[in-house]
Formats: sequence, C-alpha cells, structure tokens
Amino acid sequence: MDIISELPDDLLLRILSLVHTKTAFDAQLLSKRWRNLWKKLPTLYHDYTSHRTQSQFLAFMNKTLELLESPVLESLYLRIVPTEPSSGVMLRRYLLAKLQVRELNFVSISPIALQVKKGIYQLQTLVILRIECFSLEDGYGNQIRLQSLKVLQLRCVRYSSDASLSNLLSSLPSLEDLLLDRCLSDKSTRTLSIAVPCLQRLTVLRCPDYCESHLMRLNVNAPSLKYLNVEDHWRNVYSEEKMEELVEADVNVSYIDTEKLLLAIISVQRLSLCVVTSKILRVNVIFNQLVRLEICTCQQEWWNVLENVLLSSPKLCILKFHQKHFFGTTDPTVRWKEPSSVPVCFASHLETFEWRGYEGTEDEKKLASYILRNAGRLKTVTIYPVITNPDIRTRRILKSHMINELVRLSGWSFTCKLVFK
Amino acid sequence: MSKKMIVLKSSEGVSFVVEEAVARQSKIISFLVEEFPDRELPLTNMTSEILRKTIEYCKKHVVEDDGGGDSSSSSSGDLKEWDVKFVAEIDQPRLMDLLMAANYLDIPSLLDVTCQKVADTIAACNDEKEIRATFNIENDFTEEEVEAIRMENQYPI
Repeated sequence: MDIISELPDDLLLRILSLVHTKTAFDAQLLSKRWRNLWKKLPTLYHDYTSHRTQSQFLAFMNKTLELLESPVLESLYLRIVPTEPSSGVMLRRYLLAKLQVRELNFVSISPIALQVKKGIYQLQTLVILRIECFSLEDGYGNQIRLQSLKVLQLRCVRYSSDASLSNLLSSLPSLEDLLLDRCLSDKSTRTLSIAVPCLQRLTVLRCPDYCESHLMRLNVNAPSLKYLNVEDHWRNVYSEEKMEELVEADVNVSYIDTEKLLLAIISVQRLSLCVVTSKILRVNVIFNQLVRLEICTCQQEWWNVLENVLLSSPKLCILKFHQKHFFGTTDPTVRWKEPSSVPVCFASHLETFEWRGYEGTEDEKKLASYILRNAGRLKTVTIYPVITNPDIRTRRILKSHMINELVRLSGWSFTCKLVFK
Repeated sequence: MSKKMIVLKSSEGVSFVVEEAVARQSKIISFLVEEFPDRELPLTNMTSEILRKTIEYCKKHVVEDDGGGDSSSSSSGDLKEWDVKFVAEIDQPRLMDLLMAANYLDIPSLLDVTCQKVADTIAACNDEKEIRATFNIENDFTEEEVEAIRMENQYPI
C-alpha cells in the first residue's frame, strides 16, 4: 500500500528537506501527488557533487530558484567545487532580486578560494550568512546592503586587503554574532579591524592558519560584546578598548604576553582560561566582577596561572579545573607552591569547587588540600578522579584511598559536601 | 517510590499501562493528562503494535533523560546510536505508521528520527523507479505527461 503519498504536505516537505534538492526535484516524476511538492520546500540544499558538471549544477540551481512557488526560503545551502579559479558562483541577478531567504550557506570545498560575488550582498532578508573557503574582496563598499543580518560566520576566508573585512562589517548595522575561523590573508593584508558597535558575540578560532607565512592581526573594537571566545596562538587578537559589558569569555592562548588581552576583558563575570604563562596580570589589576573561573589543566604552569587569577578575583564563587586540550607536556621540575597570601575570595565568596581529571599526584594533593583547608565558605566540592586501573575492585580501593588522603591532608571539617565521582 | 501511571488504549482496545513521565513526551498526551486526569486515553487510530513501539521509544528516552546527569554527552551519543538501530529494525510500512504516530501524538524527536530514516531511504534510491518500488507508489502519469515534465525541466545551460 502506498502510505507515503497519503502523508500531509508538511510531512512530505519535511522529508524532502532532508535530501539533496536534486533528489527532491526528481521526486516530481513519482506521481501527480509529488509533482509540485518541491516548489514549496523551505530549505534548498544544492550540492555540486550531485551533478555531472559545474555548468549543469549552476543551471539547475538557477532553474529551481526560478520555479519556486514562493520565493521565501528558510535556508539555502550552496556547496560547490570550483573547476577553475575564476568561475565563481553565478546566481542570476534577477533571481537574487526576488529571492527572500533567511539563511544562506555558501560553501566551497576547494582550497582555491573563490570570490564572493557582490550579488549576495543585496539579499535584504538575510539574517544568517555562512561563507566557507571564499575570498573576500573589497571595493563593494556602498553596494553592500544587508540590513537584517545578525549572524555572520566566515570560515577559511581569504581577505584580499586590510579593508575587505571592515568594509563588509561596516555595512551590517544589525550584526550581533560574528565567527571567524581560520583567517587567511594575502601578503598585503596586515590588520583586520572588527569595529562593530552592536556586536554581542565574537568567536575567533584557529587564528591564524598555521600555513600562513606572515602574521595578521585582528583589532577588536566591540564595546557591546557580551560573549568572547578566542583561540589564538600568535598574539593576533587584541583590543585597545575595554569590553565593559562582557559576561563570558573563553580565552585559549599560547603566547606569553597575554596582559593586553586580559586587560580588555577585565569586566568579565565568567572566565574560562587556558594560557601558557604564569605572569598573566599586573599585581594591581583586579577582576572585580569575576564570579566563575574555569582553568584548563593542559599547560604545565596552570597552577601558577590559577594563583595569579585567584589573587586578583575577590568575588569568585565558583572554581573549576578541567583539561580541555592536550597541548602541554608536563615538566616535573615545575612544582606547585603555596601562594604568599590566601586569596581574598577564599574567605568571602568561594562556595563551589570542582576538579575534573584529578590524578592525585603530590602537587595535585597539595593544591586540593590547600583549597579545602583555606576556603572556609565552600559548600560543594566535587572531584572526578582519573584512575586507569582496569579492575573495578582495585579502582574502588584506590578511590577510597584518594579520598582518605585528601581528607587527612586538608583537615577536612565536614561543613561542606565532598563528592568523589 | 511509586510512580504515577496512566492507561493508553490502542485501536484494538488493548490497554497499555505506562508511567506518566514516559507518556508525557507526547505533547498531546501531556495536554490530555492535565485536562482529564485519572482517565484512560483511547488512541483509536493507533494499532497495538505501533503503540508498543512508540512506548518503547519514549521509555528509552525518558530513562536516559533522568539518569543522564553529568555524563550527558556520552549518553546522548549512545541514545543517537540506539535511535538509529531502533528505526533500522522496522520495516518500511511500519516505519510510515510510526512516523504518523509521532506526528499525531506530537513527539518531536521521534518525528525527527523517522523522517530522517525515510529521507535516507529515498536518498539511497538510484532513480524515481526505485523510489516508487520501495514505497509502493503508483505511477499515475501517462507516458506523454512524463515526457512533458522532462521537457519542462530541461534547464538552459
């Protein structure tokens, strides 16, 4: 029995949205029931690989856009393999003018970066734009009109000059969320500026690409920023302006001079930190609003980083250790030392302490018991030990041994909850 | 601890006693339970077989949601794997029934997995003939009509 054809339109469209548009398009030959369904698809997924040649692919793409019953699309995916560097993606201009699309994903899967054609910048209804493996030219200037764009993600995009990114950004009055993953640059590109007054979320990943021969800097000026996520290995990201509104920051850097970046985010409330160096802050700098701190334990000097931030964070309530990356190598000569003074937050604010990946080494024991002994207001302590022994019974014995040792070393007072997971 | 149970009745009149939390993954049942507490709910367009499958799905998902807690990332991976296996074991006509049940009872995650499975089945076919054969779709076009559609869809290159 033919049950599938009896499904209501919305369910069939839901199913057809999950296959390549070429397959959904071909489904019109099934029966009269299926004839015009594809024209109502909310999502078009055009993938070069489902066509024999580039020109066939482009023609098909334009044809489907032309035949759409309603030109209002939820999302449009274009995934192309350029056969020659100059070909580009040719969406016909009159189609772009009538197309109303909310989300556009523009992906090239070749290392040859194609140019983004200026027609894309005319899509008035666009809210989300993702571009991958393309090159961004400048000179479009006043032709860019993306009034509604809120989310912009640029992955493996090549910037042809210093102005190519700032030109685009200056034409996006509503932009709230920007992601840059692997910025590539031409020789002439030195500094990219991110000056967006209304930007709330900024993510910079894999910066710069390791194969790049010269350094390119990212100058951030985003006074409204609430969320910042930076993964930076060559001191590329910097900000002259303080981010006063910042709520959450995730900073993963492997260069020495981090102070400038940290000074810009000094107002942050929740901070996740992975840095290589211990001297990250000047003594007189205070994280006045910091309530939650997560430290990544992958770098060998992480406990010195911890000391530095703890002493500068008088209002810290939540402290967590966990290993996010696997960058670092441990150097047995780097030992943990008790700080010269007990951090202010230990006596006044710190209530939650969590340690994931506790191995129970001498230094770890000392550090954990130091915190348990000195943080008088702790309410919950949760420790996730790493015990690699394959035998369950042995594991249980080792775990209870770990707990007993920690209780003994810290002079545990039982005023708070200690959980060993 | 005793858990609150409710009774769901299939089209054949078979009663299924289910924990309320399990059944509440259906937005419709969730609504009905609030409007008519202590009543058994007749699901007249669902066979016992499909109702049993739907309950199996809901049970698995409610257990994982409860006990997930700290290790949620790994358990959500396991759950995904379980979902894939769950739909893989169902034959095509019953899959369609289950999809309609998920739609009727408004269980979004079950609707997602069943739609995805149907989409994957369509995508795996080589041409429209194979799709027709797989889903028993009757071709109600004349040869001339098919030719006309093919002509219409020749896109200019």
